[in-house]
Amino acid sequence: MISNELQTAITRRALLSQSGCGIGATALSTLLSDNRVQGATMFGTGPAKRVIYLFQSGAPSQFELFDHKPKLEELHGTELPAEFFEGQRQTGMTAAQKKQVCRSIYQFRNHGDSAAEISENLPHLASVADDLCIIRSMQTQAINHDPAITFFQTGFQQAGRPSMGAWISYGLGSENSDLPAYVVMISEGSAKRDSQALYDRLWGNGFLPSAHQGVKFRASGDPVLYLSNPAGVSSAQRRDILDLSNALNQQHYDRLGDPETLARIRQAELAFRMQTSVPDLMDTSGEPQHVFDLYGENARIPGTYAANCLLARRLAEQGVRFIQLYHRGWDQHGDLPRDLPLQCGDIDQPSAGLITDLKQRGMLEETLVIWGGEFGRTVYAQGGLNMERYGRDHHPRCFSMWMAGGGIRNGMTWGQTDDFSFNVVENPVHVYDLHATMLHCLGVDHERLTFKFQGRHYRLTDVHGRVIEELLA
Amino acid sequence: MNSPLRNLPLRKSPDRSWHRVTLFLLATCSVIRPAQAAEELSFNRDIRPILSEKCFHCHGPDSVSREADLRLDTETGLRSVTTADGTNVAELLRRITHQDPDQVMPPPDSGWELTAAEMERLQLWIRQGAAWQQHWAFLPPVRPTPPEISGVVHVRNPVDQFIVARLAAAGLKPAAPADRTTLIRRVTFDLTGLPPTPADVDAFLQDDSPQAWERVVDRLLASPQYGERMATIWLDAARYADSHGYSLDRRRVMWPWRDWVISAFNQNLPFDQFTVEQIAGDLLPDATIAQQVATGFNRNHPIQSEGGVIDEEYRVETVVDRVETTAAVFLGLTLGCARCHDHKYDPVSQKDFYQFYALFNNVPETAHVGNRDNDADKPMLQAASVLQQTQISHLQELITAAEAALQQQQTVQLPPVETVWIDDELPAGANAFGNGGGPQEFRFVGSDAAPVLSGKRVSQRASDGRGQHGFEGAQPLTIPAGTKLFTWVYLDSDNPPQEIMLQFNGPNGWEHRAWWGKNLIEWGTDGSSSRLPMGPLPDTGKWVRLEVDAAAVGLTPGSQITGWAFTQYDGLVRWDKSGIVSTPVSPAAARLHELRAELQTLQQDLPTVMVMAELSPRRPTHILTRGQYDQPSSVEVQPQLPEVLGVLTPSHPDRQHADRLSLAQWLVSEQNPLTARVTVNRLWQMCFGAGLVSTPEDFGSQGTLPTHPELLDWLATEFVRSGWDTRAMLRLLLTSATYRQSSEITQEHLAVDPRNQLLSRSARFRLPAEMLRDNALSVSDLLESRIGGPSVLPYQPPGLWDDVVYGNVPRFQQDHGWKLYRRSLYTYWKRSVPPPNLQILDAPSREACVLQRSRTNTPLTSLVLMNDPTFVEAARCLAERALREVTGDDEQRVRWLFRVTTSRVPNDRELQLLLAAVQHSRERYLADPQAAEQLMTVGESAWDQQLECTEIAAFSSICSALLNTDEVISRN
Repeated sequence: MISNELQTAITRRALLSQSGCGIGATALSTLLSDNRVQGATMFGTGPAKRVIYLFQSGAPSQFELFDHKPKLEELHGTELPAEFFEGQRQTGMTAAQKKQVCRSIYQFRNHGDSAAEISENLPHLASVADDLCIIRSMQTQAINHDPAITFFQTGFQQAGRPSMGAWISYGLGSENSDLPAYVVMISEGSAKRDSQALYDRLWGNGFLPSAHQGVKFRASGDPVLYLSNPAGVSSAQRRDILDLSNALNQQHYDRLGDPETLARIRQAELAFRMQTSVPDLMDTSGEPQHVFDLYGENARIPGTYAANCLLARRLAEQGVRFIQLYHRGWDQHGDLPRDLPLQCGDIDQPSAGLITDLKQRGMLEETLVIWGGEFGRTVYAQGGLNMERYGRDHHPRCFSMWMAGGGIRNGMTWGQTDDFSFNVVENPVHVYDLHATMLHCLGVDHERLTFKFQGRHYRLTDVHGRVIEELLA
Repeated sequence: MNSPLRNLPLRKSPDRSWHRVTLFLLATCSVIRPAQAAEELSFNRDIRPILSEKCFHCHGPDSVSREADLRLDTETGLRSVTTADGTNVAELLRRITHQDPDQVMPPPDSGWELTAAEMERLQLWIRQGAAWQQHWAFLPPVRPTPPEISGVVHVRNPVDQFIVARLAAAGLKPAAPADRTTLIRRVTFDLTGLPPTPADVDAFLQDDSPQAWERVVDRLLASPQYGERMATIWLDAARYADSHGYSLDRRRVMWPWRDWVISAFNQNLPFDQFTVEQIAGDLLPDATIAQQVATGFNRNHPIQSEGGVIDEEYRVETVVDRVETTAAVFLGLTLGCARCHDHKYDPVSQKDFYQFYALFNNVPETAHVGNRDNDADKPMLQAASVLQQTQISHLQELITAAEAALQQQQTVQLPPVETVWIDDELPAGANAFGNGGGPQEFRFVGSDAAPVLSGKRVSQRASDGRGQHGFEGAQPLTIPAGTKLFTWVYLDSDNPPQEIMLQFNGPNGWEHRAWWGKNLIEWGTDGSSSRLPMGPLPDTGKWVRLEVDAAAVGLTPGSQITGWAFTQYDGLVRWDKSGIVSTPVSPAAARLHELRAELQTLQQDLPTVMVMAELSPRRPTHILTRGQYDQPSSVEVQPQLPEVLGVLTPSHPDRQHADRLSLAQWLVSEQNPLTARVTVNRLWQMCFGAGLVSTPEDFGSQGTLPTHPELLDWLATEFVRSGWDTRAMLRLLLTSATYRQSSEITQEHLAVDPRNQLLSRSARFRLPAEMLRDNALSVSDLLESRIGGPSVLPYQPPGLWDDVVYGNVPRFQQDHGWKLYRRSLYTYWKRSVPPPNLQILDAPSREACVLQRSRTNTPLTSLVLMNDPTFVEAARCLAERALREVTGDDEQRVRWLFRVTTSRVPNDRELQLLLAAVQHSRERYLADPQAAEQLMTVGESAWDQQLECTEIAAFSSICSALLNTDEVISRN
């Protein structure tokens, strides 16, 4: 068959190593997406088969969650020594103000055999501490939300590069021909403050073929845009319309012989299948009570973080390669004591529940779970030192994240920050390193996953990044 | 001096080397073929790609990462290792073939490796004398003589001579011409972005003059839709959008620039002038408003508005964006790569980058806009666009006529008419909300809980700070001339508010507000129609009627509101009966009122468009260390070209340094080898699906080589010779036999020219997003053809903006009426949420310059074409047309539909399929007439009640299938 001839003519390996022939060529893009569906790949022998990335948008404070700073009790109210600021960037919001050191009002305890230090805000996560690998020495470059999230997602602060999920879809393909390889779900934080924008480009394909862009599954309306038939068109009627258009397409193919026409028939059929498979997947009503006990009753409310965590597990079961949740509302410039516990209430049980659920199903070993925001927060309070209403500004030089499963060592806390959690003093992990390590767990060499665009071989990690071996199981 | 391209051996010995040519073309995309003993190698074709890919990274233009002080990208550098007499050659050969991983080049840890074939080529090239050539694109194009072709009928103009010669060498013949129907459909889409009408097709089929084709091409080139089509491509290149991008991503006004582009193409402004005006129109002597508007090209970049940002950081990004966009669009160079370090592959140093950067670094801008809609960054210009100017004079004429008409009539004063919109219930379709202080919902209470003025209940809210309830998305309420909006309010005596505000959701979203009391709610612009002061709070403890003049809050006659919000600051407030009251006027008076209002709006809202300007004295430019805004080095540079391209001179004797005008003039001068090539390549891409250089954004050493280098140079010189006449160039391409080939794919094509790089057939590809939507609107007669003006917000799924906008940034407010059916290039482009249906069909986000869109074929494409209300409504209206305009039976209607959608006549098999489907679909809808009625409600255009809705529904399905077929959605 002609399409097979074309397919074999252009192997995936050739595409990955040299794709400067113009990604716009129609047949080529189809071949790419076909390969994706078939899962043909040159990579993928790592322990992790997929990633569930729990992005905490707005940047949670490390001081109140994972980076216990007892020294601040005595330093509270003192001014942060000026040498910290030499050559350092500050946002326009606090550049001019006095930098008064601010303690955390929350208690920390050691948890599990690993004695991980976790604050009282996260009791459920504390109960699975031995499954976590907590990194307290994360570093990034950007100091404002937009560039920082963009940097986390794409390895570059300016828009236009492919997102990590798109890279992974491109490198590994999908395991399920009825679903996209990269799925995104968004939830609102209970802090209900005006939260940062999350745009489609954050899960965009950049210069990769657009088949690799993240597809947002939505909690209200169509779970995938334009998925439902219009009013007055039943599924049977849609079947008829498709049959007619497929038959006409077949006629057209017989006349012109373009394999693209056959691909169009296949994609229309896939769309038709998605009309059933996606709503089925989004319908969690058949999940037993003990599952909801794990994730919390909020998991019954569509669009919540808890519901999305449960969906993430269902998507993982279906072989979706990169599942990314965004939870908004973590930008506590003020009113942290009021809002941070609300945010923690949103994510604590569902995140822990997800880990437990995956573990019970024997999926944690092959699923890399990552939790974290786009940067950290400052040791000094923004505005005054009012302990009922204090908040913290943006801080890129250190912050905390955790990972679990998927080839990552569990029961470990990695990295040290100074007494002010201002600088990393031991074992820094840059965003590039996190990307490299994540790809490594998936069996992908971050230096080899490249795409040639505008004359250059681009990588998620640009010219940086190293796999942090100590984090690996 | 000959162009190095002319030295390619493949043309020196056509008889022997044609087979190799083909192989080479196939090989450029995958692997380098092994060298054959007898062949003569060309540096540019055979060697530079190997060096560029495998060696330049460490032995190339970048001085910082250069190893062993050896560079292989210059002749001198290469000579140091390739002179045939010295030991150097031995060393080079030894290193690339070495078995020891510590010795071999490239080193194994670089990730690069020479293949056996590449090594053989390098060796052969050295044996042949190691001739060096400057990179082809940096040498000026030299006009070649088109190859002689004998005895071939397929040659209609010189384009064909180049194409046919190359095909013949590969043992291929051009494809037969496509049939006339396919041809007119192809060229109509290519030149106007719209399908031909059956009448257009008939006229062409019946025209048997030898000039029939040329006549079609000329007609299309002269149509106003040509400018829209050309502009659509240019908008991608210029990253045009209707919002600022980044986090707030509020509305901006750059559409006058977009209209300038449409008009420039429609006037066939020569491309050199088109270039000069966009790069430096403001610096031309006595620059006109239009020439200044043209410079908006370099103000289409995103602009920050996030609170905490450091302005200088984003000002630098802005200038970098200009450099990258200008270089990609006009030079086909990826200069951005040299921002942080010398370019890895092309001879562009970091200093070169900042010299070029300095040309764009002298704009008196802040690079930060405020949190307001339509806010513009300096420099800006309030200007009626070319098209608005026409609109204004047209309106003035209409007003004079309407005044005369009114004088003929006697006026009778009629009593005012009150329309109650809200009383006990919300209007149909309303989505209620409540937020801020107080209940998070729209709460009605009965007389047991509050005093009631009218009906049985009132809405009530006790708020701490700002709180409000209201609704949006209601069925529109039209505001006639002379309208006042009214409401009844009861302020609690014990707990009065500090401020109350009414907000109306109208043509400008929620930006229609009136307030009483203390000015505490900060939305809108104080004192304007978006925040109109009404005076002190009304008395407490009783019902008071409030009235707001609709025009004063920006609701001009004829505008519509779909939402209303009752807002307060503190206190306990109740609201009752609300609506509008208007004084009826005679139709003539209403018309006059409407026209005057329209003129007033037009004149009031003359858009503020961002333009370029120069700062004096100049802002110094320093090389930024690692490209960081906060790490300027001590090295100051002056505005200048990258050295490899040449030298700019000041544009005026009084000026000390080169400026943007110098650049603009150089771009279109004979000294510049790139702009004409890059431009004709893009025009070629538009007509043939892919460029002769398939990387339109990169003509550098990492870009692909031209498939037909001589043709590219011939076209480039022809373009300049014609006076940069874009229309003439398109006419040349479109009247070639090459363009007119059939797109049928044979086994031979797949074997010899699978990617169609030899143009052995016509390209076939899915139509771009805009054309798919415009096609549906066109065949269904929904298309609104007016040109230019503010962008519009047609249907999109609800809630998309909610994840993106926050704070007081307006939510999506769908337009109605004719604005739903404008051509897609007028769709409001919000960078953070581009129009979803177009985006799924591969339209870019417009955050950065795009010169080539991807064309994907995914399930989402199918979902959009089947389920997007735009396409469903179009299918329904097309079905209505068939039922209304065609008398006869199913067969006649089906034939007509097929003709309208595909431009051709169905064959028997197709006809059978369609007729069976109609019958089947009819039976379904007759069995379920309710479903048919539901289908009629998709889209806002009313369905034709004269027709049976089951019939419309039955035919709608057929139309939907047709609008989805590969034939209809492809350029064949």
